[in-house]
Amino acid sequence: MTAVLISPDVQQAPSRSPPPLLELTNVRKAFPARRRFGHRRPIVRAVDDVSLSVGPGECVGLIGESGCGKTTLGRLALRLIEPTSGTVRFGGADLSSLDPDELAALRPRMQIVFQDPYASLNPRKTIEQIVGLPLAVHAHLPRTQRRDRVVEALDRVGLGPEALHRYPHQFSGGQRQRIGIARALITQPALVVCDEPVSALDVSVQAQILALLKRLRQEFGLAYLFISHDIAVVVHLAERVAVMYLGGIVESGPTRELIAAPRHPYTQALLSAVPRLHAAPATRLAGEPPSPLAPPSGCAFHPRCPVAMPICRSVRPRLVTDATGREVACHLHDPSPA
Amino acid sequence: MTPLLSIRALRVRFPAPAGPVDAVNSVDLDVFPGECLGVVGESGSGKSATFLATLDLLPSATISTDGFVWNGRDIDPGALRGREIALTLQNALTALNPALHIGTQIEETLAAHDQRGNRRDRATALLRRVGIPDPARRLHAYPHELSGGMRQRAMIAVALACAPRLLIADEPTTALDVTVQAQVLDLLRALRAEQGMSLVLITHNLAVAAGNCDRIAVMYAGEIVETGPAARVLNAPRHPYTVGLLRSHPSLDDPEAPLLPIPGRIPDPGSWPSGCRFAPRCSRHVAACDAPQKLRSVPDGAVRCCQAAIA
Repeated sequence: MTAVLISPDVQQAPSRSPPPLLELTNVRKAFPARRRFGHRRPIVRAVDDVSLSVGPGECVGLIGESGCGKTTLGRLALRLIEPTSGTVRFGGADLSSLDPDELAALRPRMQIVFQDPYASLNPRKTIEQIVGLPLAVHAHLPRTQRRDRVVEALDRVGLGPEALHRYPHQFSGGQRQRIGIARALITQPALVVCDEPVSALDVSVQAQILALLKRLRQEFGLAYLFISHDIAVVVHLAERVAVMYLGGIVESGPTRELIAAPRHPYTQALLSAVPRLHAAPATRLAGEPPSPLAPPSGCAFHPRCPVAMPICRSVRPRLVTDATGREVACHLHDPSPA
Repeated sequence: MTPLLSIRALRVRFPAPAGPVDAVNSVDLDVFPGECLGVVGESGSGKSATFLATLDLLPSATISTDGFVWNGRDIDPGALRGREIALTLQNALTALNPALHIGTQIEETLAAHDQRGNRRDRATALLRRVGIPDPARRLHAYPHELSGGMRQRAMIAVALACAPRLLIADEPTTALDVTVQAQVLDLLRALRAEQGMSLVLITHNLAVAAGNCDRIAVMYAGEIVETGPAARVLNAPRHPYTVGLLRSHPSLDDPEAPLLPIPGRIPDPGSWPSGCRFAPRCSRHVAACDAPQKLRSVPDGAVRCCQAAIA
């Protein structure tokens, strides 16, 4: 009976094709915090019940303020750290059930570009060694064959072969970030987690790196999980955006729709706080993000929320998906409140 | 109107192994009473060095100038530092003394400038004014016990201790999250309105300058390349670098607009071109650009570009 009521469109919605490249399901990560004398060791829930998927060739933006757990989520996605619970699938394979050999075979397909181009390159290695290292680890290529591939990877990011024998300190921040990108691309990955790749760069250099990431994506059909605190940067690359607050996703959806009509009060506040070139600043969010050591009860955002209701103090809102694929975790937008 | 502070032909050179290097060259700037001047530029453009040199805070640098004028009088602005001109720095964690309570650091400033009255009460009032909750208790907090936004507020409180007529805020919100950034910018705006104080806002973010400044000065490679009313600089930029900077800026107002990066990169100090310093990256480069460019006055500001008149 119920099947008759569901239109063909809605039936197709849950089984999006093609299957996601990266799929996180109910992932949690808790870190032990420092113990205080006479107290139980406190736990920080850095990522708390997050589900997120990235399709092949898709760019998903993950935005949030410092301490919201976005970097932890990026590391969980690559199994650089183990989730406390939940599953992470890459290309259909559950990363936590793989044995070391199987995992090692997948590693070249998933790479990362780090935020700090100064800290993420070994100052004592030449660029050839740095960019060629993934090949030595994953492809076991002899050095002579590695060099051709390194030259090719450097060329893709706009650096000439004269870079091979130089050291990181001889490059500017933007060039170093190009080197980091070349290192990520050399294993021909399907997914690159970009963890704040342009935050440390000047505006004009940032635009160059964003244009490069965009071009590389088109050229190689890369999927990005693009982590940033800067929404303006994310909207230029991502088709979908997920907003994190204190360990959980509060809203996600197609970028254009989400930017035009944000639903969660936090997303609204975040967007209105972004300084604009041609518009006066709008409403202000009071207070600062609470400590993840002592998250508020109910909805984590309720102490700062301008439209908080009594229920927000006691019940954590569910993430509700609508027919257009937009998700929001807010009692205001939950048709059937708990 | 008489400027509150005029900087005339400021040049700052730093010693380097291969001989001294110019960081700032022939900078002329006026700050008018009550205005907010945005000084915008990328790393290495000389925007911080200009004001640190003005306040005599660069002991290793060689500073030459045609003079500073404060309120109509020739004066060394370094002598006014702390009382008439205050400074806040980008990184509050390193700018504040980690071993002293916040309150002590405010009282220290009051004591250094012979401020009368009860210093403790004044410090409490300052913390309250910058929006730090429970100020009487926070007097006894160490900088590391405060969040990034609260530390920035505490540093602003130290700077405001002697009710300066000019506050120089060097990248006050760069290390902060966007919601906290908005709060700190609101605070600076409110303080300026309340005390009739002038504000120099040094920032790399054009949008931060856009929402807060009356005038904007754009710096590139140690020189001022364009000045003018904020709305004019943002809507009708004259210098090709300002145009490039605006096109590089990812904007939420128009997310579909493609980013058009400026090709190349800022040359290092010491290897600046002899002619127009932006010429090697400029799409409108002509033969005349190989000659040094002067900052020319135009009806609404000034511009350092021989092509600008055509625009």
